[in-house]
Amino acid sequence: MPSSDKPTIGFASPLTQFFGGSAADVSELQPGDTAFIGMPSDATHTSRIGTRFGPRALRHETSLIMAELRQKAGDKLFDLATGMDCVLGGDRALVDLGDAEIHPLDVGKTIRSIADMTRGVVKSGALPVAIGGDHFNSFPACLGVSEALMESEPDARFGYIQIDGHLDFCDRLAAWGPFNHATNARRCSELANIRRENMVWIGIAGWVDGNDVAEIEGFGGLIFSAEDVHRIRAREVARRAVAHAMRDCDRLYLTIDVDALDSGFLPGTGSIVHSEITCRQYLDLLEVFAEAPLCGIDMVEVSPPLDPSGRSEAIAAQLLFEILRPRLVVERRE
Amino acid sequence: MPLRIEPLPRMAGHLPFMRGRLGSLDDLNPGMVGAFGLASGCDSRTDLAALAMRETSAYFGSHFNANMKSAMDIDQRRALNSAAMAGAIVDLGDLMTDPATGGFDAVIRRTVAGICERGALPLMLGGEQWDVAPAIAGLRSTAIASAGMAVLVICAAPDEFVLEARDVHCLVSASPRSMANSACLPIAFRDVRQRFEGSLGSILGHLGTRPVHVALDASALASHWHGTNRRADFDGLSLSECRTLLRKLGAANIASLSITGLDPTINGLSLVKTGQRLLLTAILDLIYARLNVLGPRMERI
Repeated sequence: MPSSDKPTIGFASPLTQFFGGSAADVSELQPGDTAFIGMPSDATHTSRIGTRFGPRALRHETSLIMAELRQKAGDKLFDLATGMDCVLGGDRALVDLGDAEIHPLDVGKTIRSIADMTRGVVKSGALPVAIGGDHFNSFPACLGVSEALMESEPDARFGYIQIDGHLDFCDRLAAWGPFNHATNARRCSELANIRRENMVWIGIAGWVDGNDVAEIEGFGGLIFSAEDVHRIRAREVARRAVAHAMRDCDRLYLTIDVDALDSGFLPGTGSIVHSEITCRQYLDLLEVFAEAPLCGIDMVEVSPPLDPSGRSEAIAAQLLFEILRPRLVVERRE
Repeated sequence: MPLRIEPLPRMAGHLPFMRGRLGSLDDLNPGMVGAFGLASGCDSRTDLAALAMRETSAYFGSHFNANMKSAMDIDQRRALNSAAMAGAIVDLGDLMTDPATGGFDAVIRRTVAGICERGALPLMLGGEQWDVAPAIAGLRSTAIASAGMAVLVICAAPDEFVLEARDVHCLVSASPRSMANSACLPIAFRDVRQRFEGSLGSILGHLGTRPVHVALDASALASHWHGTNRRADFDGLSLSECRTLLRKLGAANIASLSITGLDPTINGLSLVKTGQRLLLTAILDLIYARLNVLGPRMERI
């Protein structure tokens, strides 16, 4: 006799998709869909690796969130954060496109593979959500978005916000050259249709390269340190960031590096910092960004092997839920 | 295109503290930092502390290499004069006991005295609180302490050595108990939290202009995020409090520094290694302030 007459939540199916969505090909996407892409590569990280297991872990964790919500709330979901009666999902589909092809010894091929996927998603009118992997993978994800927008609207420009413990604005590292997890923001800044002066960094902590700071602020970019998040408050920082990033733009690319969180909360990441930024502050940032006109999102640097407790991927899944909340939880219409 | 174009630089070769140079007492000059390790531990794995701090400090070695031409603390918005730091840190290695000349205490005492006499800052990595006594004795035996010296102890729970020591002039801890030394100024962590500037002023004022030995035990760091020590204290100093305190001390009259109590095998809420990285972050503030290599505040452009 079965112990429960309800289906098993979580991992019952042979494959798990992000937020329990459907597995599909890019050709099946409809405008308004949310399309997830795995970027299981940590070959471009220079020290503590393991983020290649990030997409798999986040598929499990995000599925668990949705399964638990469905089981506990059914059709009667009350959102304490907004005080609204809600339903899960809505008209827009959640689609998992699977992982991009990774070529560990050929970074050029990996760049093209990831960029082709996000490019296809944007051209279909869906929102690409790319999941790393180390932070370098953010560049090809953003590159694909840039290429698709350039094809459809050559004169349009987009803004860029990076939540991160680090600037990632090096031009090159000795052993890795120009393509590694410390150069992704600079590579993005070189894209033709990004507005460099609209670029914003949030959560930067500790010792950074002062030349990078001078260059960023010199071209008009904006840096909010971890100290700024504490002093100005997370929501206000997020509001100022959106205002800066959206000047003369109507779209925004958001890259979410989980290592902006203090490593006491989230040790399962490649390059830990002591930012003293809490989960609550991170969620506050994302709550503001969730309402922005996003044209692409990536989340990077979740490294499950570096945190056997499993807490890091669970927190990362909650962060992902928060940024996608308007697409995952919609107000009930009677 | 190939992924990597040069040899991996990260952990190859020897790993001296802060990627300084391996050397001996004779390599020290005035204004330098002389680091040495104590691979000793009794009831916890503090014998691993020196190794752990050296490994962790390798991540900060970028402050002095070509990849980071001008390091800057983004929170303080102050630049670091990397060029002035080059060669300023010498790692003397781990101390070894010599039965012919006495036990461990004698080696610590001689080493601290030798570093001080060359005008450098002794930095003792590892060991337990009781290892601080010979370090203090080493400083006291030098000419710079001939007119008096002071000792500041920062820890969660003071050891018997601290409680009975006559030369501890200031104790910052969770709940300072009565000391044998009535001249000792006790400051509780909660006072630091509630009246930071006032507490800092009291500490610096009480220590005066005498040469100071600062004994920082890892138990002083709040355990709720980062475990560093077997004596968990959930009301300990935060990273920012610890950094600011050490930065002020570094700019004051510090003559020697000991970092004890770090057990790299202890988890906090987090995994091992995050706590020791926190500790290194704070120690760097003291070293940079002591070497006077921090520039003025850089305002936003």
